[in-house]
Amino acid sequence: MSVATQPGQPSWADVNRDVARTVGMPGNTYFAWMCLVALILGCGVLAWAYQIWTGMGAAGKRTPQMWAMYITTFVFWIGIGHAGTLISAILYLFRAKWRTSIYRGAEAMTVFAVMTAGLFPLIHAGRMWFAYWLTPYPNQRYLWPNFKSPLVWDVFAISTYLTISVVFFLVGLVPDIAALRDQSTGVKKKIYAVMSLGWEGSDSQWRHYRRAYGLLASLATPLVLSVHSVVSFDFAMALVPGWHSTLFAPFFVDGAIFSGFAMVLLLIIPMRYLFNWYAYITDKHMDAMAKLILVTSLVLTYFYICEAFTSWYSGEHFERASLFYRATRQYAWAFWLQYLCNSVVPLVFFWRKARTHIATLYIVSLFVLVGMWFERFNIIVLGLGFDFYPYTWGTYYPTVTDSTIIVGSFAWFFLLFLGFIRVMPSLSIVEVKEVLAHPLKHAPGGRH
Amino acid sequence: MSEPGESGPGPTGMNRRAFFKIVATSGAAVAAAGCGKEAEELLGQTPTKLIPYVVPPDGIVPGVAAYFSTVCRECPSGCGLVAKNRDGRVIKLEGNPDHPVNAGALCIRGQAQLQGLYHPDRFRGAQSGGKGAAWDDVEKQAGDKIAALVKARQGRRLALVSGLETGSLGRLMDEWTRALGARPRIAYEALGYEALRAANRAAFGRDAIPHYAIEEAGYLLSFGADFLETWINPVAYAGAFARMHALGRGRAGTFVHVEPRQSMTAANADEWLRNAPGTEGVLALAMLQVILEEGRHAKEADAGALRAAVKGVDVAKAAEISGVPAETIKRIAHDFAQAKGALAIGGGVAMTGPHATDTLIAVNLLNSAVGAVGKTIRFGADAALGKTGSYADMAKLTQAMAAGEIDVLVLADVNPVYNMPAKSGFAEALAKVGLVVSLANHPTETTAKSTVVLPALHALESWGDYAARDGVIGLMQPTMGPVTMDGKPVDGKSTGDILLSLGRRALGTEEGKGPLKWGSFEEYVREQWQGLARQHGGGKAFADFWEESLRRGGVWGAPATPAVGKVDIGRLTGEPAKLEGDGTHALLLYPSIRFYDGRSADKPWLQEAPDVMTQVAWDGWVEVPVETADKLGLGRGDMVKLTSPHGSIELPAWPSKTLHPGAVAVAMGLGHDFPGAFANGGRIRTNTEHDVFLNGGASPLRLLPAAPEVASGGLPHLAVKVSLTRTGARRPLAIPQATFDDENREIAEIVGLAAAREMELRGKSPEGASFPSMYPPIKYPDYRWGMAVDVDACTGCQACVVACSAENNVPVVGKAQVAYGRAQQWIRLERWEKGQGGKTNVFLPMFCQHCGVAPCEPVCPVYAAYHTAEGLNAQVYNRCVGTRYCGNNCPYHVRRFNWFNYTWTAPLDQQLNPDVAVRQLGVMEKCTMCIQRIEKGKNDAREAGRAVKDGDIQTACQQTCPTQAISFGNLKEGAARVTKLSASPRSYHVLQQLGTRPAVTYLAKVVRGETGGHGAEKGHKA
Amino acid sequence: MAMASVLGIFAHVDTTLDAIRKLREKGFSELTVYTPVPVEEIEEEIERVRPLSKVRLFTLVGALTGTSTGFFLTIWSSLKWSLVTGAKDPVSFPPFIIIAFELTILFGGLATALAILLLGRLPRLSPSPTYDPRFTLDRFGVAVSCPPETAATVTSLLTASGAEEVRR
Repeated sequence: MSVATQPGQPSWADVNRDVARTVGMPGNTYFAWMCLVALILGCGVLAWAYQIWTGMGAAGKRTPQMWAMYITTFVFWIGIGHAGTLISAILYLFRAKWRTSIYRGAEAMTVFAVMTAGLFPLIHAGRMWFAYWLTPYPNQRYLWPNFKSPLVWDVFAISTYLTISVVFFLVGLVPDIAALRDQSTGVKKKIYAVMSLGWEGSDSQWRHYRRAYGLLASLATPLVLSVHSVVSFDFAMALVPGWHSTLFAPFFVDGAIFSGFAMVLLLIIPMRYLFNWYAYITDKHMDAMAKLILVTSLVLTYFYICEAFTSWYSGEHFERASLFYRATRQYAWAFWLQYLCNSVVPLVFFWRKARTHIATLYIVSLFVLVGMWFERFNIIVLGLGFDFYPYTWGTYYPTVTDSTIIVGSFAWFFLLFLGFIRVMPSLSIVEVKEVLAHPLKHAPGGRH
Repeated sequence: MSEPGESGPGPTGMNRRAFFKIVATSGAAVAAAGCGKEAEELLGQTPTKLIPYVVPPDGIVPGVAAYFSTVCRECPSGCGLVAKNRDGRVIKLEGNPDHPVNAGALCIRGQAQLQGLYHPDRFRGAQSGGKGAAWDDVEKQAGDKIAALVKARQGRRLALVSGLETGSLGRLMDEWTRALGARPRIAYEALGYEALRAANRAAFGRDAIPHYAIEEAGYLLSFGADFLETWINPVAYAGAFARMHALGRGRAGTFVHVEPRQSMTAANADEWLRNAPGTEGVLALAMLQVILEEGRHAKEADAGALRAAVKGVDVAKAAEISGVPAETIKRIAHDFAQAKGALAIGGGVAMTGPHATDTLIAVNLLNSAVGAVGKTIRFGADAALGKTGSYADMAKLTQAMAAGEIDVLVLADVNPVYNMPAKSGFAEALAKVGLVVSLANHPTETTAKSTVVLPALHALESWGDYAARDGVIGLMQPTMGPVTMDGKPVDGKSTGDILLSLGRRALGTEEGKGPLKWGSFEEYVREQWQGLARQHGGGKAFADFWEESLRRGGVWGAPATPAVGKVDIGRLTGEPAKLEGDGTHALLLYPSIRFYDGRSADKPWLQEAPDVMTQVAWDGWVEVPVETADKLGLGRGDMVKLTSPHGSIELPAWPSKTLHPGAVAVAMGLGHDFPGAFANGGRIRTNTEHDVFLNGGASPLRLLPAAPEVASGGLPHLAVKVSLTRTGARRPLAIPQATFDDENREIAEIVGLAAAREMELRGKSPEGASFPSMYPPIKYPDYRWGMAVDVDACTGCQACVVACSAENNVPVVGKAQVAYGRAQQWIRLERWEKGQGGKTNVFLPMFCQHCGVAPCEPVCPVYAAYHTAEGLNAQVYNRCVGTRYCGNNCPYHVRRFNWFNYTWTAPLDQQLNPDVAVRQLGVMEKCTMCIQRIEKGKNDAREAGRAVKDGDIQTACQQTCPTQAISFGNLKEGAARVTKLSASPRSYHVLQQLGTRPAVTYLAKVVRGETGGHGAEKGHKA
Repeated sequence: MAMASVLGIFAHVDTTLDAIRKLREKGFSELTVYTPVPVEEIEEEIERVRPLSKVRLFTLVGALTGTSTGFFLTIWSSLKWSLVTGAKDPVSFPPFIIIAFELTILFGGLATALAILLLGRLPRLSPSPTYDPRFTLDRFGVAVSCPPETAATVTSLLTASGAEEVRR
């Protein structure tokens, strides 16, 4: 503790120690939490089973709201993932040093978020047992997916995103696992040995590794931008008023990063407390992320204004009516809540103290997450609710089944994350060391 | 599986010789079962197993349909039917195109009667005291009792009540009553049109209901006559109306309707006059007064008598009483008098009031004044309904029963316990009758109170004949054997056969002897037709004549027109109807197009098809004027208690902007007292809900007095004032249509008559919008199927909705699902309020538009939705994964998703069309333009070695449409009707600006008095 | 003849760097340097004589394979099962770009990961003789493989430049 709690800089050895102590046999409270989460997940699974048995009618969907909370939550989780990749890839390319102590957690979050999101297309499909038909696989009947369908683009974008994120994640882990390996004994050592692929940190390993890492980062960067654009195409390519907009790609990407950072804060703050990592995750980091949330929030607000303006300026009855009804008819509260959470609340970050005040950070993050979930809800459910054909207008009501499944998906995510932080280094040993002062015998500049 | 050449019943349990007979004669569109015994033999049994394809029994060609012509008996109209029999089961009904009355069309109830045939509630066998019993015991019990009466010479203590039977069955029944010395039979119809006959007696000296030649009228003035819904013969009159009214047919006559409530018929009127309840007569007289005063009457009219009749009638006063402005009365009177082929008709609430007869006499006098009699009103071809007994007869019988003067009462397929007012005490009187024998095929309030039930076969399973009107005699034949339930055919006989054996038992005679000698009712029918053969046979041998009549569906002749007597009816008092009770609102009780007098209420298809005006499905409701609703704080679905001096019922409210403030309206037909599978809102076996016994007992007849109208002996439906109280309870109504305002979204279009005529001259203006595309236009090598819907001709009757469900195995989903926007019908009938103040009602049948540039297709990830080379927007159920993206992206929202695994309660499943897949859980479905019919048409054409001709293929909705508002065909064929209509200046595409280029074109509704405006512009653009 | 290997363990970056330079001057080029973290200076020092890593070649090839696969798959399959949807040609190019792009990234990424394994000689089944667990903690290692007779010189060089410990 002594080293970590002191403001002074920890040594390289401290880093190894502080990370090593986070892995290994956890305490009872931890298991209690795990059980709770697992229980919730169990309910979700049961609800899903029930839905598969009875049919999609078990979820509150109707004509015309044939999509609802599942797709909402799908988009939500995909969005969450983006912050991780942004921190680990984009900020890496920009050499933003402050990323080092948070990127591991953020990356884990990405992987798990995408794994969660990936469930929803299955949950959502009327005949999920045939969902594999969306993938191109050779078959004797020459049946192929329709590559013109945005849903197939999704399949490719999401699976690519998941694969690359996982690869990137694992590559980053290798040297750290090696470090754990060298500190642990017995079975643990053996396991880590296998997982570290016998990493030694020799110069030849490092130079390929470093270059490869850079290249992966530069591949992940356009990918992360493309993924949410493609997801947004699900809507932008459709005819529905309020969906059919060229604005959507950047709009969604920004929203994704916005919500992602909120989630990172949500995870990092307790982690820092529990693992006592104040030495590594400092107010500087909080401040930086708060600033990013603020920026993305402002950009988002700009998009909101554009959205409203264009639908008014278009003079098109459908667009105008759609917006007007969204703002005034049932679920109007959700519509306004979205603006409150995404455009108003984050403004507190203009105030320096708020950017480092833990409670504030935490609460704002929660608001942002709620707001972003509802943003997607409003686009989907309300957009469909008031589209071209007045005959079918009506209200969508959630059911116990779909609500339970949604809650279950959060449980699934936290189960994965809780599991991760106890078996893997959730702080990057190598990169943290890198940014600490390198041990020198003679004062710098002494020789040359 | 039977070996080839094996004799005796095959695996279908069907005699192969007999079946061979059918297949042999089933080539033609309308074929008959081979005459006589073989048919009986064949139809004696229905297949209970599937027919093996590998080695089918000799002569059976699986999948080849046999068609039987017969008569529809859902209501007294007597339309001609053609029943499509596949592998021994009737799977679809269509109007008989050769029949002079309905000419191929069929109404919503006619389509739905299949669900009566296959109704889960049907009696499996004889019943005694509500429990199953052996047929012979029950027949013996009844027979002996009657025999005792006959022996004791106490035939008077025996009574027979039947529905309206104009043919052999009626005659047999009369022979029966005569032979047994019983009271004269009462032919009881809940809607008996007594007043109409009385009025005709008085005004024209003819106790009959003539043929009203609406098709030839140039100006139709209706006093409450709902001739598009239930009045006399709605199918025929709807067709006639289209001919006189729709611009597409050239005439574009005028139709003015007088009624306190905006009924579906009123919604089709060019001008709807909302009068105070019970003032139709006042109005008619006032108009007559105007005509006479201004000497606009026809010369042949007996002005003197007419003047006498309207003596003292004051137009201003009439205006004040009726709430219709005097100038309107004058204007209408002028137009009516001037018009070529003017015709005034009366019906609905105007026909059933305290002095309905006077009202209808007044209407008759209007007709005489303009010389309509003999022109647009033709006696001779008198409607069957003119031959009913009256409610008064039933009332008398009831008294006799109550006084214990009746020992045996035979009720042949009637339900007076439900149909007569509770006040009449029929139900109680029934208890005083020693033995009540019901001959019926499914349980009703009446059978529940009967001592014994002898199951009578459904009309589609029996022989018989029925004259829709004098001269038009339809021949009925069994279209299939008795329905198989629980593995064996129902144990029943046709009403005629039951009466024969009962009678013989009572008389102690055996077959071939005595007054009831006929071996079977079929034999009796044949004997009756011997006479017709001499009359119409043209010297043909009877066998041929019989065969030919079976094929044709009957014989059609035109009887001579009798002279119409001039009767001086003296002075008519221009008094409004006096209503009983001190309530606040007059109770308008009207027959419903879906349930008629209530006999059709247990058909799920009818329950699920929403009432087109209120769009309420699966429930009863009371229409409350919006003023009152606001006062009482009533919203849709708030329960209201209606209290009359005679009783009270509770129903959910439906606030109405159009209803007369002094009235509330309730439809007849719901509020049944027995927990049938579906009546009262139904118990549908989806996986979700079981509303059993919904609005049970809330029959509006509980509010009526029992006293018949003096002049006519009919039951006044407009008789009481009721008071409304809000109960505080709620029963949300299932209303699939969210709003009646289409916000001018190019959904329902209207165009003024003048503008439309001008456009007709100018021809279709070139395409307004152009739709540039990155891709080359799609080529359609052979066919490009398309449809055209003339909204101007659509009356909103919804026959198409049920026809589609029957043809395409569309499941019924029940109230809760309909309410939540999950109805499965492939075609829905929308009502839009257009024009100034939303006064113009446009009925829009909406179904898959089969867009050329379909938004639903490219979004499907697995090509389940794609465009065929014939321009169809195909949906491959087996490939569908259920992403529902297509459903979102369809701007018309005509795609239906299988939210659950929908099921058909046995034996309803026997009606399923083998040519159409039953969709499974989790797939998207929608209108296919009846692709199975398209394929059949193409195959037939190929076999005939030619291309498909226009008219070869008819979709189910098009086929049944009484007004021929829908047409289907190949858009590449310039001469095809559909192509011509699609090119009409009135044509437009729904949501045209989206550029979906639908294959379905709509023709804007033509409105009188509107300059066109929005509608007209759209008309130009389209 | 067999080569001897000498390992010097250092605590500091500058001393390690110094050792490497000295060894180079003396013509010892068979060096393996172990570092807990990648260190710019050391890398530069080593890169001076080494050729550039081939990883990027892997990436390029992978990416291009991805692009072509994407276009091939989409175009070929639409021709194979040519259905018209929404009045679009079976082969409508624009949407296919998305598929091609995603596959470019996917294959490129996987190829890069492969490169790490192949070029970095991973996985190693058994630790190399000159490896020391401290190298993942906070110690640097310089392993020299040299002819046995020169081992003494190497040792002295290492100690001279400040090695905490020298093994041979």
